Parts: sequence; C-alpha cells; structure tokens
Amino acid sequence: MKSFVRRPVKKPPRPARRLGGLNKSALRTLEILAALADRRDAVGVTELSRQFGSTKTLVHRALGTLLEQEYAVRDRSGRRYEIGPRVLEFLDSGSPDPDISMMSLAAMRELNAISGESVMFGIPVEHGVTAVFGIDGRWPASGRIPRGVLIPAHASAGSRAILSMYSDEEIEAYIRQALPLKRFTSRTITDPVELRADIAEIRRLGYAFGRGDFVDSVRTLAFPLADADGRPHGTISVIFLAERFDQDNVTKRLPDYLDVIGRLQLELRCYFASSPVLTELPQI
Amino acid sequence: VPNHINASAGALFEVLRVIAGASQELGPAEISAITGVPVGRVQRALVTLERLFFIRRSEPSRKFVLGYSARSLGIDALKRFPLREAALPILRRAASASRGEATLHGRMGSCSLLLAKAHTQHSAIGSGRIGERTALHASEPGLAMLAHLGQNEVDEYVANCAVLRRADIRASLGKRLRTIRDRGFAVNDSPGGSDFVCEVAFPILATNAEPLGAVLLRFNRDVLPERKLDIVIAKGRAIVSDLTALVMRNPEDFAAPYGQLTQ
Repeated sequence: MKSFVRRPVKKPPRPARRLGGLNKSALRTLEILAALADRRDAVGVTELSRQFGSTKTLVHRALGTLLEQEYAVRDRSGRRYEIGPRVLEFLDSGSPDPDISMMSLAAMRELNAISGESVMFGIPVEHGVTAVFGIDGRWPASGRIPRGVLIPAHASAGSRAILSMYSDEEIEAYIRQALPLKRFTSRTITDPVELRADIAEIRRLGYAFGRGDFVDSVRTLAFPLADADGRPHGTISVIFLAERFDQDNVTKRLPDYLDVIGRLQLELRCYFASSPVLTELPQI
Repeated sequence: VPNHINASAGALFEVLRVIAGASQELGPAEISAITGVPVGRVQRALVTLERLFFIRRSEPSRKFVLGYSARSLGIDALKRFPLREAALPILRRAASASRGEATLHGRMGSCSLLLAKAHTQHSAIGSGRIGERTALHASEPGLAMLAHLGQNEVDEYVANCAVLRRADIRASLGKRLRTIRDRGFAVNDSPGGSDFVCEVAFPILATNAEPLGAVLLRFNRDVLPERKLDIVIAKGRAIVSDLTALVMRNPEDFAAPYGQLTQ
C-alpha cells in the first residue's frame, strides 16, 4: 500500500536554536550549559567563545552564573570548566513522575487544535491495540474509536503504527497466528505481503495512514510512540471523517503534526531513559 | 548581583533549580515566594524555559514541571560518568543480594555524588536523589573513597573541612579510614540512629588504586536470613569485585571527571 504523503520524519529543531524575543544572556547561558553537558572533557573560555561567537567576557559571565548555581564546576586545573552535579538532578526530579498519558494529552490537544478532529490515544494489548482515551473534534459530527475495543494489529492505522515498532520476527509471528487476517471493511489489509510493505512504509515515514480499514467512514493518521528502547508504548491517532478529509490540507499540515509528535517522542524517550534503574526488581 | 553573574540568567537558573527540586508542580507565584525573585521576572524566565522545553505545563493544573530539554541535559551529563553504565547491572545484582537498595556514588572534588540506584521490592528506605552530594567524610561511600586516597589528599581534605579541625575528630576519622582500608569496605550498622537499617560501601578502585567511586548497599537487617550481615557483605564484595575487574581491564574507559566541588 502506498502512503498518501512521502516525506521524511521531521526531527524537532534543537531547542536552544529557537530564539526570537528571548533574553540573549539567558539563552547564551543555556547553550553553554548544553555544550558542557555534551562533552566528556573540560572546556576553556576561549574555546567556548569561539564556538558561540561570543566575547570571552560574555562567556565568562555565563560560566559565572552556571558556577554560582553549580550547573558547572571548575576542573582540576581551575582554568577549565565541566558540567556540574546539579544537572544530574534533572534526571531524578523531586516532582512526581510524569503521568505518561497526561504528557501525551498535551500533545493530543495540540493535534486537536491543528486538525480540529478527534484525537485518540491507544495502547498495545495482546495482538492489537485499544483506545483508552481521546479528545473530541470541534465538529458536531466527529470520528471516534470506541474505548476498550480491541483492534487487531493489522486492521487499523493505529494498530499498524504499534505493529511497526515490533521486530520483524514478532511481526511474522503475529501474521502466522492471525492468518487469515480478518477483514473489517473492503479496505482492510488482509494480504500479508501488503501488510509487510505497509509496515516498512510506516517505519520510513514515522506515521501510518488508514483509509477506512477498520471503520469505513474515517480516515486516520496514526503516530507510533516508543519507549527508550524503541519498544511500543502507544499510539496517537487523528481521526478524520471521510467526508471532511482533505488530503492537500493534511499534507500541508503534516510537518506540524510531526513536530508535535517529535517533541512528545523526545520527552517520552528522556522519561524512559532516565527511569529504568528505578524500576522494581522481581522479588527474590 | 555580583559582576560575574548575569541577573536575568541567574534568575532563570534559580527558577529552573526550584522546579527541578520541587516535590510538586509549581506556578509563578509559588516560585516567586520560594526564590524571592519578583513574579514578573519569574514569568519571563518561565516563558524562556518553556519555549526551550526545559519546563512544561503539567496537566490538568497547567503549573510547571521539568521538560525534556532538562532531562536530556541530565542524560548527556551522565556521559561524564562512564562508570554508571557499567555499574547498572551490578547494582541490580547487588540490590537483589542485599534485598535492599544499591547505589553508585562517584567522586567529584571533595564530594560523593549519587549517580545511580537500584532497589528491590523490600526496600522502602530512600537512598536520595540522583545528583545528590555529600562530603566524603559524611557518608559510607564517601568514606570508602576517602580511605583509598593518598595521604596527601586526605590531609588536604581534612585541612579544608571546617568540621574536621578538632584533633579528636581528626583522630577518630583517621582510625575509621584505617579500618576501612583493612576491611576493604565501610560499614554503618545504624545510620541515622536507625536500629534496623544497615549500610555497607565498597570502593571501586582504578589500576593505580585511586578510588573512582563506591557501591553502597543499604538494607533492612530484618529481611536478612537470621539477620546475618556477613553473608550480604561477602555477596556484595564478590559482586563489586566484578565491576572493579572491569574497570581494571579498561582503565582509560573509566577516567572520571574531577570537578572542584567543595562542601
């Protein structure tokens, strides 16, 4: 199956480069902090001033701010700087662990605002996906996937977005046990060859597209959400009513959708990457 | 505001520090009350931090918590401590062996720095937060590292530490460090006056015998079979020696940062 838009997945820009109207000193200091965090060795004022095109005085002042707050420390020589221990506190914030569905909800609101359509959050369950919550579209008649309904892994854009995050072996195992692939509408993918091609396309593009393959009257744009190891965590789907679906408009707004999802994926990756040591061990 | 500091950036980092350390999401007025920074300046700092994804609004309150840029920086900063990555599986084994918590501590200047932790379902003890630091002489992992520093470095440490200026305290510390060196670990049977929590810290030494860090086991004696400490110490020593062996085989991979961090 061909996807309706072929664009590479747009990675969100590096945060510190989104300037415009913000305090320059604060930005410079944050950029220097990011540069220190990115290095495995200490760095001097001259090198930083070259890297950021700032005067040594300004760099020195930024470093003074970071030293004061212990986001930077001097190295053994006392003349070079390295990242300070306070940055590690970002990994284990005293704030309650973020609720992942709430983190996703913020992104879903943005997608809802961009599209005006219903946005659903689904989680993987055995051999499929189920919608757990959603935001209604702004129109009186909006598409919706009922919560709690198990959608087989091949049968919708959301479930294929999740399927795409499994290994090839796991996908083959699913196909073997699900054959013959159940048909829900005339557009459901029931041919394993077509399913494999669609999975490859989802992996390449970063999203899945459904043309009424589970419910005839909707078109779906679904984004996979992975944990730090790339394993499936969930999916967010924008559900368009077929009669209102405007391919050109969706194509035009696709970078915005991908920007929202990219930011959420980064946040989820950071969350999962910082927490595995904290997980419970099995009782011995 | 001192000359070497930029006031706006200073306020921004003050706001960031408070949000990172808060036990709950915070709004501008609360941050202003905690920091003493005027609400207007807090608002401006929040706008900058939010636009750069250092903080984000929490649902449904719309107050602020840390965002992914801050967490990313934390992850980047961990690259400075290659020991952590190598220690993670060992920490899990050590936590299982002690039926409690296992934490990795690195050394930065005169401080011991909490770098990683693992725990079991038995543990409800609370080992502190990643990035938390203590003076070397003030915790078991710090003492395990201090005991393996050269005498000159220990002398310098003691000379720079106000609470160690009294001769009797210095003498007591010296005796403690000798015991740790002889045993190969530091032990505190009742940290904080608790009569059931026990701490044992094993140093991780480089080829040149310089301490790179320490693994601390923190556990409840009551969950041990017959409350036997010796078994946990023997298991802990064996597990940590695997990490030490790894460090010795690849010394250049584990060069630790040496920040001038003082208490």
